[in-house]
Amino acid sequence: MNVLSICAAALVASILSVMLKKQNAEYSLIITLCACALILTLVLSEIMIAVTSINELVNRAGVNLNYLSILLKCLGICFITEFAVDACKDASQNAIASVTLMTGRVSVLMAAFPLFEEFLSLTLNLCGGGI
Amino acid sequence: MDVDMIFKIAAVGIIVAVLNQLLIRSGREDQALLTTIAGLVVALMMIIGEISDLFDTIKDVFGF
Repeated sequence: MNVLSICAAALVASILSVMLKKQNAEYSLIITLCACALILTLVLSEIMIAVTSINELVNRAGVNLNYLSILLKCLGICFITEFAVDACKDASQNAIASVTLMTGRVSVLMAAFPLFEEFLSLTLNLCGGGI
Repeated sequence: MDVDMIFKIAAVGIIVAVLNQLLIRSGREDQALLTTIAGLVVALMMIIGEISDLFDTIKDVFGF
């Protein structure tokens, strides 16, 4: 991944998108989507390396790996949702964007729920209650 | 880096815009509409592989 080439590609895609906006706006949206997908795919290959080293660090620290996997899942949901919401907002479809945002929030909550449950039961145990 | 996909889509857009104008000027509005729809389908077919690729990578990296 090269920052300079990604910036150049983003600029070129923006110029093409603005150029096509007057004649047919749908192509402008498609170019934006394509550029976003390409750049995100490139960046994700870097993130993969970071995730591997974070996994190793957490493993060395002796923390349960399930927690990290839940955290990463939430991060992935955020990435995908943000991508879709921004595309919808670019197409000025605010209703679809807000519904997608809500879906992303609910999915993050559902993904993090086992962790929350465990935390609550631990707290109750400390207080002498138990679930 | 697969930047030529962006150029390809832009080229399809420009060609469709020109064809659209030509067909409208010569009084064939229905064919102009069909050309626009066909171009849109072509561009969507090009982009859908990229988006599926992106989602697969995200699934891989974040362990869905």
